[in-house]
Amino acid sequence: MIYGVHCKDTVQTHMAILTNRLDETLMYQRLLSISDPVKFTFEGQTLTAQAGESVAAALLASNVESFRDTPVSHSLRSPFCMMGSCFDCLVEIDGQPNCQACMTEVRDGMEIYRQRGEA
Amino acid sequence: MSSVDLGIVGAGPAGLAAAVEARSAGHSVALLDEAAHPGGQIYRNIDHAGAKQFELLGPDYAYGKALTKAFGKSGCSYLPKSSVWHVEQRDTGFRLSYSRDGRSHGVDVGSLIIATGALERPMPLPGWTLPGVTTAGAIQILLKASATVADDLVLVGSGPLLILLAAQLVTSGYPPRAIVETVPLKNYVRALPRVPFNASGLGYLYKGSKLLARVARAGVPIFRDARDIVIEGTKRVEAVSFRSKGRAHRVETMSVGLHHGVVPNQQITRLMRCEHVWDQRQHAFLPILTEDGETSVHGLFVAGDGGGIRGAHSAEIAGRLAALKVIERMTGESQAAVKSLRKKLKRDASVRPFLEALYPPFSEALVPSDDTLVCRCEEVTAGQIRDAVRDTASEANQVKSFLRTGMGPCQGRVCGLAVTELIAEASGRSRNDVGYFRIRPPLKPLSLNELADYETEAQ
Repeated sequence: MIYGVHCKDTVQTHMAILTNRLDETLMYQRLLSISDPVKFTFEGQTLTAQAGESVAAALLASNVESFRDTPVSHSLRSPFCMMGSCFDCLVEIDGQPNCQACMTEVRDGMEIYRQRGEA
Repeated sequence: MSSVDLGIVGAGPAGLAAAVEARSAGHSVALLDEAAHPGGQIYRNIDHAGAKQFELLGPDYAYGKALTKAFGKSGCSYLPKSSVWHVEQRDTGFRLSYSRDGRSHGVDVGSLIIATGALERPMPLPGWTLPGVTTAGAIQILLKASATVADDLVLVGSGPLLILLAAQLVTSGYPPRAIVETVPLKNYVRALPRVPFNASGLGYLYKGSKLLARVARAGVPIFRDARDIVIEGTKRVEAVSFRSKGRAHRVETMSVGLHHGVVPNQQITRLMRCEHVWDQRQHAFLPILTEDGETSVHGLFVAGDGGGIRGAHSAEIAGRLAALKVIERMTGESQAAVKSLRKKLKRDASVRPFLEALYPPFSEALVPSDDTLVCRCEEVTAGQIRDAVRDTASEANQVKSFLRTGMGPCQGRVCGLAVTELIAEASGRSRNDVGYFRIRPPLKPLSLNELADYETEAQ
């Protein structure tokens, strides 16, 4: 037993990483390559997303780990619900703070920053 | 201010079906929805999903295409990306105030159907606020809207959605790393007598068993009867540790999907002061409804999961039913289809007692340890809530004013039921007595500029 997973499964997982995931394990993977690209920046770094998807999906698919820190304890947060109810995905978009990344469509040229505290 | 016969909030199966029904009888309908495209969460992105998504999500997802198609042809006034932030009663019905692209507008409606569906049941576990921890629903939304999957997901919790998602991820080639299932083993025995022996109920069970088989064939490890669950990490999730069948486990992962059921989204019915009552089987507050979905407020209906969790198919039936009642009231003519829809609704719900007995909420998330955050926005712990109860607070709104629980931007959507539960546990009072946060406008945060511009326009 390694990390609570049966050895057989661990071996299989390693095999999978060796065979089709030469890149290191990422949080999120796109199943389809981007066919209709949108370019935007996050914290000054240029990223690409699929047209029509949300800012939250675009950032997650780019493996951005944290979207903001909290006003109370400055702990890091990222999207929790992806459907507009939790407000954990708040970011600053084109100078406007408190934008719900999961409810905002990503657009060409968007400048997105982490939301720090209360903003 | 524009005005229509019927207003509908929410473009999931209930809202779409209601709109089509009312339009086919010739009434004017406005449907407001937060999303950019119709479908709700269940049929999210259905009009733009590609072959890959249809392959992974299966025929139950593809079914939604017929609904959005009929809706598209219905001539309903459709207001996407529109977030309703206030509802007021008027002599002639209701006024909805909503925000769209940073500007607010109003629409007057004669009758109103709330079809805002369900939210994930709050699952406060140690570490649940870490980046990389999402609801299972969030993972499914990523799949539907962006064909994106979590690479080494550990699913924690229980319920039909968890199994469905696991099976879909297996098909995607990215099976979950593990399922940490929180169902006490005795529940399997408890649920047995509630197996629904009718075509509808057995159909659901057959579907479920096929999904489970797909997950099992893929060799996804399932840790049964998990307890003492802790999500570990500092800047993001790093591992999930727990005990299963008496043994300690630790599974390393970069993403965790939480789920132990969904509950009605009650923001609007609470705002409208509709009567609600605690339902022990669903372990949630439900608005009190007539057979056809009317609340205690005349002319205000709820259709779909917002009135009690019964799933997408029931939601569609309930949407039609509510629309027919609205039509009956406007025309004074009784609608022939009402009776058969009521029957269908009953039949479709026959699987629920089984599911409710098998998959009740996870007890550790109902009464979390003292240092677990419950209110994610204001960062209030279970211990602080228990202390407030010891200091005489015994009602949800007292705790809210003591600790700001539910006063952050989510307005209790995430923590509300968890707070009620904790107060009930600590005070020994019933959930009905503890109650729920008083919900006030605006339902979504609004800039003062936007509010001021709207006030001017409305005058």
